[in-house]
Order: sequence, then C-alpha cells, then structure tokens
Amino acid sequence: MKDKLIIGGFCFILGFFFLYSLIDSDTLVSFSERRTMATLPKLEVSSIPTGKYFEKMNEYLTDQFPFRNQLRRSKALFVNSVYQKNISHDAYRIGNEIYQLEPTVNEKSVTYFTNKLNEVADTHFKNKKVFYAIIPDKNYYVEVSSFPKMDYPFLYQTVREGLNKNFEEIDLRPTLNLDSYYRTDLHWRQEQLEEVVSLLQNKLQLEKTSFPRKQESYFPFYGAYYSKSSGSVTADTIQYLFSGTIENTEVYNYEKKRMESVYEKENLKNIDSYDIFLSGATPILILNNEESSSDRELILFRDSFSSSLAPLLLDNYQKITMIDLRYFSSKMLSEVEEIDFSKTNQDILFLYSVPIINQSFTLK
Amino acid sequence: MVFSSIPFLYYFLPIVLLSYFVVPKKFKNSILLISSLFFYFYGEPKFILVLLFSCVFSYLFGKWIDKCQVPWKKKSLLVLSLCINFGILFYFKYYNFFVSNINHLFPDTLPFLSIVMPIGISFFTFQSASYLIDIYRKEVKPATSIFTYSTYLSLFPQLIAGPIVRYQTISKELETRESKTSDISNEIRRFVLGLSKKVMIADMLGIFSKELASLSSNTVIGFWLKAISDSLQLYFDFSGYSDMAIGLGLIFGFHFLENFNYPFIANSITDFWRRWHISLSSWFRDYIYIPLGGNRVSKFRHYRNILIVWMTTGLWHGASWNFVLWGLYFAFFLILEKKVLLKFLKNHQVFSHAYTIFLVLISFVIFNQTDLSLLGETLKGMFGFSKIAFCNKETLFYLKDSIILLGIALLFSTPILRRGKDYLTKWKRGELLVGTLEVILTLLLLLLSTAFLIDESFQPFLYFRF
Repeated sequence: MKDKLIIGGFCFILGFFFLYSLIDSDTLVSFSERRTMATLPKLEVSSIPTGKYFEKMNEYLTDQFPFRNQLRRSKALFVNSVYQKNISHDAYRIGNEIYQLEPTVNEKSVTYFTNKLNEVADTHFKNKKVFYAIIPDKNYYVEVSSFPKMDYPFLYQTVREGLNKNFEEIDLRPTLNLDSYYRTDLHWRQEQLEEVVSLLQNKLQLEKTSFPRKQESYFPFYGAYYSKSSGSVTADTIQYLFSGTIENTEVYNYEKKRMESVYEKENLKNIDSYDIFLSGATPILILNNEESSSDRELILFRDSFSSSLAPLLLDNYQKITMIDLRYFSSKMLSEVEEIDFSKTNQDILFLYSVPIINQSFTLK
Repeated sequence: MVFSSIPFLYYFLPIVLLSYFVVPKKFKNSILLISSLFFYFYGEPKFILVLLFSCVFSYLFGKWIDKCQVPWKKKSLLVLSLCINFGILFYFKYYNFFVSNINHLFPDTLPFLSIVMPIGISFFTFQSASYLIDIYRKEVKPATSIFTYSTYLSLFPQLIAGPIVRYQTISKELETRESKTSDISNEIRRFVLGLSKKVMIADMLGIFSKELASLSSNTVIGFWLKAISDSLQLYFDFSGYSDMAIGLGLIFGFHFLENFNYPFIANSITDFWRRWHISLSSWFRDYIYIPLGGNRVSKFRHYRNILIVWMTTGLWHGASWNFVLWGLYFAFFLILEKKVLLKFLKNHQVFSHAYTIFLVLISFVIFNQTDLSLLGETLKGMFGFSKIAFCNKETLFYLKDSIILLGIALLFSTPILRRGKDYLTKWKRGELLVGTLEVILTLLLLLLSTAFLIDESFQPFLYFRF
C-alpha cells in the first residue's frame, strides 16, 4: 500500500504539473516580481549549438510554471517558519517590512560621488552657493540592535570632507523616520514629506507654503523589495498628493520632447508603480509653474527620490529643472538649450539617496 | 540539463518514465539511450560529439583488446586507448593549466587556448578507462553492441556528476533487468530525498556561505562558520546528486554502488575516504594504487604510491594547484595515520572524531580556494593570526539567521534519524507510523523542492566542474 501511494503520488504530481502547464496560458508580466516573464523561445538553428536555445527554454519553463506565485509563497513560509530565516535574496524581513541589506560603505563610490559633484559645481556653478542633501535609506532608522547597518557617520563625513567649500549641507535625517518609507520599497512616501519640505524651505530661504492634503491612492504597489520576500509580506499602497499648483503644472520631458503631467496615472499599471511620479526614470525634466508669483528657479540634481518630492516644492518656484546624471552626462549639459545655469535667480540643490551614493559609478 | 531543474523534473522525467514503462522490453535500452543523449545535448549541445566519440572509440578498442591474443599488442592497444581517452581529458581540462605553469617557468612558450570543458568529461573518461582496463584484465566481457555500450556510458542518471559506475557493475543489467514496485517506491524516496538535500539544504548553505564571504569585515568566527557551511554544502550537494542518480538508476532497474556513507562521522582520515566519494576513491585504488604495488612493496614505494594516488585524486578535482595541495594534504595524514596514529585514534573515540572533523574542515578550505595567496589569508584568519576581530555584530546577525539551517544540516549529516527510523520499525505500530510519514514526507518534499526551485535562481551542481 505504502509503495503504491508513493509511486501514485509521485506520478500524480509530475503528471499534474506537466499537463497543467500544457493547457495553462502564459503570463507576460509578473507585477509581484516586477519583471516581464520569459516567453517561448523561437527555434533558430544557430542558437542550438551554442546552447542559448536551451537556456532560454529553461527560463521559459521555470517562469511559466503553474502556480508559480503560490509555490514561491510556500517556500517563503517554509523558510520563515522552519528555518526561522528572515534573510531572503539579500533582503531582511522585519514583520511586514523588507530591508535591503547593505552594511558596507563603498569608499571608492563615495569618493567618485563627491568628485562628480565637485566637477559639476566647478564647471557650472563656480563661486555660487550650492546645497546638497543626503537622503538616508530606511535602514538608517531600523532599531533592531542586531541589524547590520553601514557606518553612516563615516559616509556623511566622507561626503562632507570630499565636497568643495561652496557646498552647504542640509541634514534631512531628523525629518524622516521608518514610517516615511514604503514597507516593500526603498523610496520615501510622498505623503510623509511635510517636514522634509519644511526644512528645505527653511534652508533655501523660501516662503512657507501649506502642505497638500488632497490625495488619491493606488493598491497594490509591489515595491522593489517585494519580490525578494517571495510574497510573504503584503503589498504597499501609493498615495499621491494634489494641489492647484501640481494640477496646473506642465512638465517638459527633454528625452521625449513632449509635455506631460506631474502624475501620469497610466504609469500606475507599470511594473514599477512609483513611475506615477514624474514618469519615473528620465534624464531631464522641466517643471513649469506658469501661475507662480515667484520668479525663482530650482536646479535639482537628483535620483528617483526627488520624483515624489519635487511636486511639493512647486509653490515656491516658477521653474524646476531636474537633472538625473545617471541618464545624462554632466559633460553634455552645456549643450542643452532648455537649460541656462547663468541666471542669478536660481537655487542649486544636489539631492541624492544613500543607495546611489554607495553605488555612484552610474553617475555620468 | 540538471536534475534539480524544472525542465528535468516536470518535462523530461515524466516523458522518459512514461516512454520507458510503456514500450516492450527490447526497446527499453533504446529509450534510455535516446533520452540520455538528449539529456546531454540539452545541456552541452556541441559537446555531444565528444561523448559520442568516446562511446564509439572505447567500444571499438574494447573489442580489439578482447580479440587480440598477442600480449604486447594487447598491451599496446590498451595504452593507446588510454592515452587517447586521457589525452582528450587533458586537452579540455588541463591544457591551459599546463601552459600557465610552463609559461611561468619559460615565459611565452605556449599559447593559451579558449577551451570550455564539457560537463561530466571526468566521469565518463574514467568510466571508459575502467571499461578498457577491465577487458584487458579479462574481468569483464566487452559490450555486446555499440548501442549497449553507449547506453552504459551515456546513461543519464550518472552521466554528468557520477557516481563513477563501472561497466562490470551493471553489465548484466544492461542486458536484462526488472523494475520491482518496492524498488521503484524506495528509489522515488531516495530521489526526492536527494533533490531536497540539494535544493533545500545545499543551496541554502551556499547562500549562507556567500553572506559570510561578503561580511564588511572578516572575523575569526566568520571564517570558521564559512568553512563549516562550505563543507556541509559540498556534502549535501554531491551526496544529494548521488542519491538522485542511484534512485533514478534503480527506477530503471540499475543497481549503482553507494557513493557516500555519512563521512562526517568518520573517526580518521582513512575512514573518511571510505565514506566520501566512494566510487572515485575505489577507482584510484583499483586502477592506480594496486597496479603500482599498493602496500605490498617497500615502505618507500608504498608512500610514493600514496603520494601519486592522492596527487592525481587532487588533480582530478580541478586544474589548479590548490587541488594538488588538497590531495597531498590527505596523503600526508593518511601516511601519518598508517605509521603512528591509527591505533591511538581507535582507542580515543571523541578525540578521533574531533581530529577528523577538524582536518576535513581545513581540507575543504584548501579545496574551495583556488587562489593560494588568499588561502594563506583565510587560514591565518581562522587561527587568529590576522588583525581581525574574533566576532562582530554582523557575523552574529548572519549566524542567527541561519543557525537552524546549520543545525538541520548537521543533524542530517549523521545517521541519527536513520537509526531512529530503524528503531521504530522494530514494532508494528512504529512501522505503520514510519510508513505513513514516508508517504507524506516524500510527496511534501517533492512539492517543497519544486517551490525552492521556482524561487531560487539556477544553481548548478558543484561537482559539474569536475
């Protein structure tokens, strides 16, 4: 009886998944894994001897395996409950929150970062006062004593000492806490940035404005770390804030040569829903607030964190130019007609998060 | 193709099993041959020619050696066939290593070649060699046909990572064999257990080892934990593969010999090598050590024989000096044990286990470090001769996260559970309980292993590179 049950059960499991996979339709995109899934590779004679065809076939069969999400969750459940492991795919789970483990300061990267900022400032903002702010990653605020954090004081000090004298620091650390960040993503939550905006207004000597209270939300937002948890935590909700200024502002996308909205709601359905904020990864954006009573402009060198912050500064500026040096070389900036660094009514702010500073070699 | 992959488990295996058990007996070997060649072709398309050449070449030379009645001609044929077999292995596996050493002594003498080593070449070359030598020694008759021999050499359960199955072990079963229901059930359990050992323990230990290797600052405890984790990973990876191979073999009616027998409970290095990669150590014993004279020679020649065997055992594992050092390390302790230690170890059980575990851990540090300069750093770190902390918060963080995994791995590396099962099955109720648990656990482990395979990125077996 035992033998028959084992043979029968084994054959049933193998046969069930085999047959189910034949009749099941393919999944093109996995939102929970934030990626497109492999599709059936085309059979080309040249790809067989090299083994590429079979490699792609492996990816396809594994990606399109029936009940993929449920199986991944089962694995996570087993590893969490039996092995009592909280680390999965280099990410650490505390309750319902996921943190990327990055305990080492990459000194070479930090030095590269400061050199790059000095180079940009020396080229375009000689003798001008420029501000910089470091956005701490959420690991900074974890209070679990055993959690391995990077040496933040060392990182801050290395940046401070590496930058030229015309850089003035704005320390954002007191304005944020764990609730300021998504549970499944590295980014901060727009609706939690009131103190950040207030501090920036204070340091940049801007008029204090009221923080937008009108908001809309979207669920589920599968953050960058969600897939690392294999679905063992719940998805986040994105909230995005509205004001008259935000609704009336037009955004010029330099790469696509077209006007866009501050929030592109269609992007909520992208693999990364965070793309709702200023269309996600883009080299140069110019936010024009035609109805502004101010004539000031902001030049913002930034990473993705600023996509959700910049709309909240619109009341203070007639124009915000956002430059992402990961996608646009600093050496080419003088050739962009839409950008003029010679004006005197400009505030210059370099706003970068710790993950970018620690892996800054992408800055061009 | 690897056993621990979705394409193998849920596409290749069901089709092969169905075809094999549906066709009449006379076609069963054809099904195995076709599926084995496809299995190899799927993973290494262009190197299928190397495998086919080895099949045809060894089969023909086997026939000629058998037919030849003139001793010197017979010997010449054997030497020639072995030279060509090992020549191919040398070209793919050792040529660039050889060139780098020659060029080190005489700069720019020989050019490096862009060579990719065919998977499993060390295994099927050694199987071919044993086949030819056994025919020469008249210990086995040549295969009845090229198809029978090719089925043996390419048999997918043992093709790419062993165990090294000699032709004489399965020659009768290649002609006629039966698959009994109880055998199939036992071997399905063996196969699933092997799969679980690979994906649920070895691969997880691999992740732990990587975490320890990337600590922002090394610690003494971190080095030791990594040595333990690496050793256990290698054991579960390779013994898991052997379990799958032996299990699959028996499903098709082939009885392969055991390859592991709880090596971590060994009480000496001599005992360890009777329990670790048994098919390889017995191959070297039967085809190198004994022909050289074994221990029935002068002391000097006996020690020389041990050194030769272990240097080549080391080299078999890889074209790098650390593998040679690894082999010589074992040779040193085997000689030491033969000369003075064995009696002492037999009378001091606790010490003998601690001694063996300690030496085996160090051996795998040597095994895993192909850069000899880094090997020195690691050993210095392990013994506190580097200026590093004994332990730190980060090491403890990773240890805490994997401590249960380590505990489970340590438990399964001993026969405690098997002895518990044997104890329970002495009673009828115990037998019923064990039987029920076996059914549930086999099926549950198959599903869980599938879940692990889906979630983890592709992780090849460690023994593939040999």
